[in-house]
Amino acid sequence: MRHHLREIFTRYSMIVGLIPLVILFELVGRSGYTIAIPRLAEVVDGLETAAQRTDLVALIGTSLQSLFIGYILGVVVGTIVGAAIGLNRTAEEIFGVYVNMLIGAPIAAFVPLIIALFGLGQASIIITVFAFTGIVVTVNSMTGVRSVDSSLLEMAKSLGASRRATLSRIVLPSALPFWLAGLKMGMNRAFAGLVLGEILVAIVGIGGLIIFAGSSFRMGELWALIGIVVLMSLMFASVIGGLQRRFTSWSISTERS
Amino acid sequence: MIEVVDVSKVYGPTPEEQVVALQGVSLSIKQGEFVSLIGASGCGKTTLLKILDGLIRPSQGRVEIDGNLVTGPGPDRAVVFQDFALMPWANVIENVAFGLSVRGVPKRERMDISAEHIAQVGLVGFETKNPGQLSGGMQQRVGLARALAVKPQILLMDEPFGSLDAQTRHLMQEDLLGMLEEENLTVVFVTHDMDEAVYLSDRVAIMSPRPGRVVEVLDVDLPESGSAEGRRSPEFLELTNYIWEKLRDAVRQQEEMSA
Repeated sequence: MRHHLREIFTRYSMIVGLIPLVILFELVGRSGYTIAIPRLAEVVDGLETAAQRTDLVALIGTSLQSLFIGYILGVVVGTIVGAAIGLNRTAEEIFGVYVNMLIGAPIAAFVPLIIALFGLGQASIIITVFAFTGIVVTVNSMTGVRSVDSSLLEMAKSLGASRRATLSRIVLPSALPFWLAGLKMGMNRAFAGLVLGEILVAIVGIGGLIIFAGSSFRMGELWALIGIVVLMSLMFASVIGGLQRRFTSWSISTERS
Repeated sequence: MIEVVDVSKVYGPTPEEQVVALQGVSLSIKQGEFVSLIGASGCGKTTLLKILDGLIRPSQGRVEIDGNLVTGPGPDRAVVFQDFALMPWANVIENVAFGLSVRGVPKRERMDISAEHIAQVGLVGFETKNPGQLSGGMQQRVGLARALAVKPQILLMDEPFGSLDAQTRHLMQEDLLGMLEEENLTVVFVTHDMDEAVYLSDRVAIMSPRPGRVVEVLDVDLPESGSAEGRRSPEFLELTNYIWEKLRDAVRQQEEMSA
């Protein structure tokens, strides 16, 4: 029985771990200590009001569209640029300086500039998501192709593998765990970029709703919307987590939190 | 026939920072011979092995195999690496077949050849396991099977059992001779283990460090060579003792010179 309980706990540890927070939330909410923390019932009501007042599903749809276009652009460009920097000295000399600058820079600071360039619309949000995702994917692709074990390269050379065979059979598989980790982090960054972009543009998507609910102190609604964003982010990241387990179970060296 | 002629290797960007890894090494190895290169770390034995494979170019001198100058790796040679150099994402049979596959051997054929060599090294039943699921000894068996699968004439082994525990190493040494029995291979075997060198080899080249050079080449001519009994014979012990004295002198001289 005890063993059984432990199994349940391990299996649903994430949900079980949330229980104390939910209880605390409700207690603070009931105490009326701060307007920022409403009762859970108000959060549920908030979801309903948000759904009634606007076409919530369509807005989420718009957000997801921006997210995916920006994310996929970021993944494609990040992978190509990162791999090129990692593999090719000339590419490193051309792009390296920008990547190093952008790694340390707060991308958020560029968002007003992006809006000035691309206008108050979906294009700016897509570009913001792209920038947030692209950096992380670039860095991880670069690290990935450089992580290849030098003795494996020596082995391939000794057995007469061509450059192309070495790349496809040794370098790319070595890079895969890093690349997937980059894709996962990139997904989290993509959500950050999405919400930030939408908040600043303020008229579209779920970020628009968030800033609207927040600025008019509809806390139940705000928490419901935050919940939706967090849930979606976790969902997509866990899809990539599934890919990691499927394809890189041989690797224990890379972080897959 | 391998001819190493006056090979030197110097590392380092500028003359002041240069390290002489090998200096004036000459050695000839006959077809079918098992020769060990033994010496303390820094004596250039691994560098010499990699020069034989063509992975490293010598700064001076040359290596010829059957009269042909070595300019790079070739199909007549295969290396067994100290750290196994197995692809962690690929299973045993894919690892063994790697050399065949990059050489364009058709899938069916390379699977058959690989299966044969997996059996030869005693890994039947482990074909679909990944390296991470195998012990160190078994991983090196995979490395050996991969090298044998490309049908080399010369097997170059770089401290292949150096990272294994003493018992496994002992077992691998005994099994290696059995596995190579029908191969008629020339073997160059890098080691720092005197017992291992004498047990396995026909000849032992003793090397000394900084600059790396061959100080003596010793014939191992023991009555029960390569058997467990021979390993306890007085002649065997005498030979390992002699090598130890040589190595000790070389290391001592080196230390006195640098002091």
